Amino acid sequence: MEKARINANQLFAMIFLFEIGTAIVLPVGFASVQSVWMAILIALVFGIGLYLIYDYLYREYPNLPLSGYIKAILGKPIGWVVNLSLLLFLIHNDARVLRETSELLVTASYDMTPLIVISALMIVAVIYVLSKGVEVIARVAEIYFLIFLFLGLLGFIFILFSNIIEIKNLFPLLSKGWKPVFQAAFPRITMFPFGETISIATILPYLKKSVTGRKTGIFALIASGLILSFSHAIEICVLGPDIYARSTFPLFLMITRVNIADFVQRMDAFVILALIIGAFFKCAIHMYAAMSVAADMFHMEIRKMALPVGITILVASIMLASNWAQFLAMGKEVITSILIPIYGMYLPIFLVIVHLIRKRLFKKS
Amino acid sequence: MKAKRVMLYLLILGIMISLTGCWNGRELTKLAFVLAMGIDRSPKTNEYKVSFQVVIPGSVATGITGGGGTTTPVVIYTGKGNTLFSAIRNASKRVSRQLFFAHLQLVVIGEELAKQGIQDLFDFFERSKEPRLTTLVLVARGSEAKPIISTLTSLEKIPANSVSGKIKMSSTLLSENFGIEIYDVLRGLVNEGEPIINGVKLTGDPDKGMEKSNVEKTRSAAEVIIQGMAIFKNGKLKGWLDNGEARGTTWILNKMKSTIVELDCKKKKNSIGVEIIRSSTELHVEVKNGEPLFHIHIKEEGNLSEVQCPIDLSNVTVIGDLEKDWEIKTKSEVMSAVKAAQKEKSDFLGFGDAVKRADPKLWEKIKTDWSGIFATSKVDVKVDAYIRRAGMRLKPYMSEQKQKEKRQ
Amino acid sequence: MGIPFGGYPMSFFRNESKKNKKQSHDQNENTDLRKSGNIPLYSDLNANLDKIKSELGNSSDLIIRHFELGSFQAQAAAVFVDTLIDNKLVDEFILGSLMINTAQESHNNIEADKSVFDFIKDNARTIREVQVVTSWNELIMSVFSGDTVILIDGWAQGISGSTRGGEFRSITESSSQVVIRGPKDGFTESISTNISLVRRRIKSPNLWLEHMKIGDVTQTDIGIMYIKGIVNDKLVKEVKDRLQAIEIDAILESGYIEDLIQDETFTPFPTMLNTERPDSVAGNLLEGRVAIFIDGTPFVLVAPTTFFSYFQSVEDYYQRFDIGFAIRLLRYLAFFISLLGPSIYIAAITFHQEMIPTALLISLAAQRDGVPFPAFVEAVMMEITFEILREAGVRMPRAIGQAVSIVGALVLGQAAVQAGIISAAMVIVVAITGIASFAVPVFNLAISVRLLRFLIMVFAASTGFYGIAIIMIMIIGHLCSLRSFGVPYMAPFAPFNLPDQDDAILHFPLWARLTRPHLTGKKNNKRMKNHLAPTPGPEEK
Repeated sequence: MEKARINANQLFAMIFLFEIGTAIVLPVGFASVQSVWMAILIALVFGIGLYLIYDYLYREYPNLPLSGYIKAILGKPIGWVVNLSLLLFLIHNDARVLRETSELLVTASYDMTPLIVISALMIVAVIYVLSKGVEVIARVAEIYFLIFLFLGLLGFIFILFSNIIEIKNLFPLLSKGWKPVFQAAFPRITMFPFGETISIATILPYLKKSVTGRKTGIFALIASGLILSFSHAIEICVLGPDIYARSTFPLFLMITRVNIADFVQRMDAFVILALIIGAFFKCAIHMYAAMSVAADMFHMEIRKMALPVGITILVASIMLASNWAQFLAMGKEVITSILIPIYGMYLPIFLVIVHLIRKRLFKKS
Repeated sequence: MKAKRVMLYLLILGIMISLTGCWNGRELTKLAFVLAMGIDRSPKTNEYKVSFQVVIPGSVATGITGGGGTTTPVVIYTGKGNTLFSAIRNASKRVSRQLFFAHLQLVVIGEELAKQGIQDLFDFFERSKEPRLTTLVLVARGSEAKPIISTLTSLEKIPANSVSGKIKMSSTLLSENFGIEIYDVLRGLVNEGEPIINGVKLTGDPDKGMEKSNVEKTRSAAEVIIQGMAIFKNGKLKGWLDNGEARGTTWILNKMKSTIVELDCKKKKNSIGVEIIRSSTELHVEVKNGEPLFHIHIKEEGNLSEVQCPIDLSNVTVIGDLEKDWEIKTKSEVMSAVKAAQKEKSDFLGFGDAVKRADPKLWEKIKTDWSGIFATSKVDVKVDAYIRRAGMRLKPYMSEQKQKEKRQ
Repeated sequence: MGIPFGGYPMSFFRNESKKNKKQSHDQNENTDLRKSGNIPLYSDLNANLDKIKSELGNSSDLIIRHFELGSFQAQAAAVFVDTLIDNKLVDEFILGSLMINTAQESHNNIEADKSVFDFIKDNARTIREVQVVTSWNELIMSVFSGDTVILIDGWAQGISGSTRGGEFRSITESSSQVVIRGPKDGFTESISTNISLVRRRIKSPNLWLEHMKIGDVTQTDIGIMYIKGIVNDKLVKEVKDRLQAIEIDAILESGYIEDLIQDETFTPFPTMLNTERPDSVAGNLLEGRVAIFIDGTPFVLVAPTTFFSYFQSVEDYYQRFDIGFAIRLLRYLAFFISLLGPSIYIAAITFHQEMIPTALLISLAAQRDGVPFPAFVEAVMMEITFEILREAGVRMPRAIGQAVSIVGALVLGQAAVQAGIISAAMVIVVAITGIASFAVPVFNLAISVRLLRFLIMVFAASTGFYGIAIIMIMIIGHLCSLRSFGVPYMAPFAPFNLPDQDDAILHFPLWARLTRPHLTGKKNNKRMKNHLAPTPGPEEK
C-alpha cells in the first residue's frame, strides 16, 4: 500500500473512464444487434451487483487491497496461490486491452507501423504515470474525465447536426424476443466491461472516506452504463444494424459520416483520441491492480513494480495471439465466458462466503 | 532518485521509439490524391479496369507557388486487375506517387459493369481505411466510366468537384435525384431492398472532353450531366428512372428538398409553376390478411413561382383548386415510381425494411418470396399540399391585359 | 518575528549555532567575514579601528573619521562605507547632532550622570533609527548595509545610525509585465522600496513581514511577507524552513532562491511565480500566498502557485469581467497553439492527410511540391531559426534589437519561401506558434513551452496524433505529480474543487468570486458579502 489518498471525485472519474475505456469503441454484444443498448442496461444491473460484492469486501477490510483480504480470508498459503493466479489473470487481461487498442489503431490509421511500437508507446505512458503513484493517476483521471466529456459532447453535437441519426434503424427492437438480449447481457456484457471492475478493488482502500465508496461506485457505473448504452444506440442509428454488426470499429465509422455543411467533416481524430484516452485508463488501472497484487506478494513497493509489470504486459500482449481472428475467438470463448467470471464474480462471491463462515465461527467461539 | 532515473529511461525509450522511424508518415509530395475513380470491366480479359482521376496540385492551387495553367488540373491513370486492389497496385507502374484515396469524392461505375452486377464491388471501400463512406456513387449512363471522369469541366477546375456540385445542386433544387453515398449503396445491398444509384451521362465528343480546349470555350465540346437513377435487381442494373418516376422515388424515400411542379391553368397546360419548399413523407405498413398494405402520406408546402395565365390568386378557392391539382400530380408521380419498381420487382423504395420493422414475424414468413409479393402489393398514397404564398405580386399582369383586350 | 518592518537594519541572525560550527571549518581563510563572528568589540578605539581596517583589507571606500567629543573629552570615530551612504544623513548624524548638540547640553547631562554613550544614542534625533552594536559581526553588517557606526574610546559598543543611501533606480513601469489598465508602478532593486509598494496597498496590521539574510558573502536581505489570518501557518513555516536550509555564498537574484527552494528541479514547469508588479503581489497575498522579497532584484517570488495561476494576468481583474473571461480563454488557446501548433501540423500533413479538407490539402500539396525537406525537418529548422531570432532580439541593444529581428524574420521567411526551401504554410504555422507563445502572461511558462514543443514534435513525427496524445498524457501525468509548497499543481482541476472554478480557467464577475482558493486561503475563506451583484436603480423620470 502506498501512502496516498484519493477522494470520491477521483474514484468516480477512474471508474467511469475504466468502464467506458475500450467498450465504447468496440462492438459489444453481437448477438442482439438492435437491442444491444438494452442488453447493456441489463448488464449494468448485474454490474452494480458485482460492485456491491467488491464494496462489501472492502468495507469488511477497509485498509487492505484485494490481495490483502484474499490472504486474510483464505489464509496465507492459499491466499498466495490465489493471488498468483489473480496476478496472472490481471496481467493477461491488461495485455488483452493493450493488444486490442493497438490492433484498432493499426487497423484504423497506422497500418504500416509495427504493432509493438504502438503498444510500447502506450505502455511507456502507463508506466510513467503509474510510477508516480495512485494519486497521480487519480488526478490525471479527473482531468481526462473532463476532456472526455467535452469530446463526447462535441462529437454528439456533430452527429446530431449532420442529420445522420435514423431512429428507425433501431427497430424492430426485439425481433427475436428477449432471449438473445439476456444472453448478450449475461455473461458477455456483464463481464466486459462490468466484471473487470475487480481491478478497482485494489484502489478502493485509498479512498479518504470509505463510506463514499459504494455511492460513488454505483453512480460511476450507472453513468458509464448509460453513456455506453446511449452511444451504442446512436452508432446503430447512424450505421444501421448490419454495418454496425460487421465493423471492427463502429465508433470510428460513425464519425467518418459526420458532415455539417461540407465544412465540419473528417473528425476522425476525435474518436482516435477517445480511444487512446479510454484505453490508457483501462490499461493503467488493470496494471495498477496487477502491480498492487505483485507488490503485496513479493513485499515490494508498489511504484517500483511499474516497470517490471509493464514490460511483462507489453511482451504478453504481443505474444497473446498471432492474428485478430484468433484474438477475438479467444476473447469470446475463454475470456468473457471463463476467466472474467472466475475472477470477477466467483472469486469475490467465494470470498464473501468464506468470510461470512469465518465470522460466524469466530463469533461462536 | 530511483524513480527519477526510471522516468528518464522511459523518456529516452519513448524518444528512441519515436526516432527509429516514421512508418506511417508519408510526405504530401509522395502522394497522388485520387478524387474520382471509374470502374469498368474490360470485356476481353474480364478484369476490372479502374481509372483514377488524380489532381495535380500545382495547377489547381493559386498562390505564389501555384501559378499553374500549363497542365490540365487532373490526370487520368488506369490499372487493371482481377480485384480492385490489384488494379490499384498495378496502376503504380504508371503513377510516380502512391495513390491516396482518403479524398475520393466520386466512384463512377460503367454501365456494362453495372449490368453484370455490383454486389462484389464494395468490399474494398469498406475494408480499406482510406475511402470514406460519404463518397458519392454514380453509374455511367450509356458509356464506360472512364470517359466520364476524364472530361474536363469549366467553372470548377477539378472535374470531381464539378460532378459532386451538380449532384448537390440538382438534388436540392430539382430533387430528381439525391446524394447517394457508398454508405447508402452498402445499406441497399445488405438490406432487404435494393440499392438505387444516380446516373451520369456524357454528352458531346468524349475525346475532345479530355483536352484542355474543352474548358477554353463558352460551350464545352463535351459535358457531364446528372441524369436519372439506376435501379437494380439482385445487384444488377435493370433500368433507369427519369423525371416523374425519379421524383416520385425521391418523394417516397423522403429525400424531397425542393422542386418545381407544373400545374394546368384552365385549358392552358403546364402553365403554373409551384416551388416546393418543404415536404415530408411517412411510410406506414398495415397488415391485412397476412398481406402488407403500404400507406404513403406526403405533406408538402410550396409557393407559386410562376403563373402564365390570368387567374385571381387573391381568391381562396382558386388556391384551393390549385392545391388539389398539385396533390393529384404528386400522387401520380409517386404511383409512377411505385409502378416502375413493381415492374422490375426491385424494392428500392424500402418497403421490405418497413415490413420488417412493423411486423418481424410476418417478415420471416414472406421473406423468401418478397419480390413477388412486392410486385403485387397495394400502395395507398395520401397527399396534403399547401400553397403558402404567391410571390411578389397577387394578380398576374395577364389579367390586366385581358381587360385591355375587352375594352378594345 | 512578525513585527511590522519599520527601519533598517534589523539585526536578525538565523541559526547562530550553525554559524559557529562553520567558523571552525573556515578558520584559515583570512578574508572570511565569519571569522570575526560574535567576538565582542574591544573597548580601545584604536584597536577596534585597526581591526576594522585589517578585516576589510583597507578598502578604499571605507572611511574612518576621527573626532573628539569635546565636552566629554572622549575620542570617537565614525565608520562608514562611502559608496553606500547618503552624505547628507551622515553629515547630520555626525556633525549636526553630535558635535553641536553635545556642546550645548553637556552640562545638564553630566549632572544627570548620563554616560556619553547613552547621551549620543538618545540625542541622535535626526536619524531615523539608532542601534547599539556589540559584536564584530553586527558592526560589519551595519557598515555594509550603509549605516554609520560611531565608536567611542573606552566603550566596547558602537552606535549605528541608519544612513543608508546611494544610488537606486527610481520606481518605473515594469518592463516584463505590461498592462493597459492598472497601476503602472513596478518593483525596483531596493527591497525597502519594494516592501513599501506592497504595504501601501495593504494597510493592515495583519500584513506581516519577516526578515532574514541569506548568502554568506553577499548577506542579501530577504523578506517574507504574508497576511496573518489568511495564510496557512504551515505554509509560512515551510517557506521559512526551506529558506533557512539554504547555505550558499551568494544570492544575486530571485532565481537563486527559486532554484533552491522549489519543489522539483527536473521539470519544465515553474512552481514559483516571479513578478515585477506590486499589485500582483498584493493580490496573491490576499489569496493566502507568501511573497519572498529579495534585495537587489525587482522580481518578487510568490508561492505556492498552480498551473492555472500562470494564466492570470492582473489585468483580468481590472477589466470588465466578460472581457477578462474571454481574454483568459484566449490565453489558454494561445498556450495550446504554442505548445502543439507545429506538432499538429506535422502530424496532419505526414500522417493524417485524410483529416485535412480536400481544398486545403491540395493547396498544401502544391506548396510543398519541390520543398526538399520532410515536414519534420522543415519544422525543426524553422522553429530553431525563430528561436534564434527571438533570443537575438532580446539580447540585442534595444535600439536595433526589434528592427533587426523583424527584418530578419521577414526577409528570412520571405526569401526561404521564394527559394522553395520552406513552404509558406510552415512559415505561417511557425509564426503563429511564436506569437501565441507571447500571449502567455508569465514569461516563465512561455519558456518551458518552447522546450516541450520540440519534444512533442519528435513524437508527432514518429506516430502522428497517437504520439501527440501519448506525450500529452505523460505531460499531464507529470503536471499532476507536481506540487508547489504542498499545493497540487493542477488544482482546482485535479483534485477538482467546484468553488475554486470561479477563477481558474473560467473567470467569474467579482461579486461571484466569494471565496479565496481553498488550498491557500482556507482560513478566513470568505472575501465579501453575499449578493453584491449590482442591480439597476429606478429609472429617472
